[in-house]
Amino acid sequence: MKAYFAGYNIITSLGTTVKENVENILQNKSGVKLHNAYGAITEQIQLSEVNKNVIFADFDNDDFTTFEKFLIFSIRKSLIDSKIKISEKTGLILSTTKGNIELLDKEKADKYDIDRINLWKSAEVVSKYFGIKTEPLVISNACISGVQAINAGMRMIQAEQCDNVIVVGGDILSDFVISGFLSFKSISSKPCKPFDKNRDGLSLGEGAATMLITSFPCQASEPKIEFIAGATANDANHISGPSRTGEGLYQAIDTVLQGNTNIDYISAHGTATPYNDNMESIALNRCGLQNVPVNSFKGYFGHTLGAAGLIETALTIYSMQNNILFNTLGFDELGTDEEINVINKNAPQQVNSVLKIASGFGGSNAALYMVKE
Amino acid sequence: MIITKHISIVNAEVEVNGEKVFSNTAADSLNAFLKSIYREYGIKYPKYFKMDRLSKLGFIASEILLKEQNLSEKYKPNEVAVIISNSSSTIDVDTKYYKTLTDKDDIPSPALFVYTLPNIMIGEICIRNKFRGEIAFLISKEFNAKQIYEYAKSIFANNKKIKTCIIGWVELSSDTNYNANLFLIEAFDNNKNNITFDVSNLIKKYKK
Repeated sequence: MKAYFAGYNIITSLGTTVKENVENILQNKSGVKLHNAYGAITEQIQLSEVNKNVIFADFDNDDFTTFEKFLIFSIRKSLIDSKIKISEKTGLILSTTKGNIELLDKEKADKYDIDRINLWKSAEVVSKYFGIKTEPLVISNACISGVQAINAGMRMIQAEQCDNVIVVGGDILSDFVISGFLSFKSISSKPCKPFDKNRDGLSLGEGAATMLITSFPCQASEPKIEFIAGATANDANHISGPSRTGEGLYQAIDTVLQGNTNIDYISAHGTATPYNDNMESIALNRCGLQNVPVNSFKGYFGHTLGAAGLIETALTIYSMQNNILFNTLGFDELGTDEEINVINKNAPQQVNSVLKIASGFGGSNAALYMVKE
Repeated sequence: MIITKHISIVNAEVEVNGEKVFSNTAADSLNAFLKSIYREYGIKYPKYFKMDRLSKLGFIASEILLKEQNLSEKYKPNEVAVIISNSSSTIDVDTKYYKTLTDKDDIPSPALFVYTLPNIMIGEICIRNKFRGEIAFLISKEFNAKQIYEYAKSIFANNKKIKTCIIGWVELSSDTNYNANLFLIEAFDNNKNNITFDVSNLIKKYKK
């Protein structure tokens, strides 16, 4: 069975639909803003924060946590614009790193059952809300979770385990996550600058996204996008730093492309940390993909962790269906070890075949190959 | 595919292929118990002592599983996949890390924060053994044999590089509430145990 794209939604600081996000991206707007403080964080920090009022307004009760509302809102929006109907053979996959972690705060946790903090519980809550009959799959694999979740959804369709799959992902800003990245000293004091000579760290963001995948050509979104192959690979090098030779990412890309370099566009991870962006430049050169136009979306809405791979794949699909490539906001002058072809403006371009990549803590790497019919 | 080896660490006991090989009920903490296994198996890996308890549990379980299996001779680095699941993700170290935020005498540490991602345990196992194949950390309420079987099967079907897979369950929610069950899945079995890799055998072998 072929796995087709059937619909999507993204929630970022730039908007709660793909359309709204694209409008802002085309104006080179960034949702990364300087905050004088955030929650228990008392220092100045650049963050990409979602306008939560828009999401909360969609709920008439307080049965759900902020994280769950992000997921439910995103799935609802994605279904409205698609031909997908939830059936006995609809699958659900959740991608997140920390889910309801804010429930470690006793005050916030008070009104929920003790098991609400568990990631499987979040999937159960969402599954119940939408009346999904199959057992949800939860993937928590650091920053590759989103791409890996789409890969898993694609395989569930290809193996005929499901007729269609809802892949949802999200992560929200919390004292927990912000303090952790601050302790790593990996957050830039300015909005992040992917692949740039002067990049000095990432910008943290929050968000959610949904990707609908179907086995039925009649439910596919037009023009049809097929998910062809996905893979992950480990660097076996360091738990919090990428491989200097890009070994894991090279392996993941090699598995999905099998030496093919005829790709129109690469949607990179591009966190704007010195190490990550260098590693990607090395891996892409090893794969012979150094001339393919490549961008990073992190300058628009930061690194949204478990949502990032899904949000960026959604915008990649927009690029394919509308034949446009998006600027790498924050990028001025190439500053990676190896040369790569970083996109520096919004421009029309025929986009038929693409590669989405992601990397993360634990030496994780993921790749996804998609083609327009 | 065949389940060529199964190990479990449950209730202060280590079992290999269903037989008890080690126990230490005298250990007064999980760390002490794991350290006694570390010594018993003659493991020499200083990085072990920097890991959080969940990674320690997964790491020790993987050492027992892979002992005398000669994986590095039988397979290339990119032919080995590691797929592990649990219920509580990293709640044990999450709680510890969160205390450093709220405690005025403490500061958040990157050495602790990094372990608040469950897949770090897989990273540790991959670094130790130079595994560079597929990886995944899945979360389910209880050990879900069907889900992890289907996930592994789809990896074998889609990633032609993968020849063998370590799968299992490494759960830790408190010092006394832990459970590790790991399975080695290969195409051939030199020991002729011939235990087919399927859902019912995973359920049968899994030790609660």
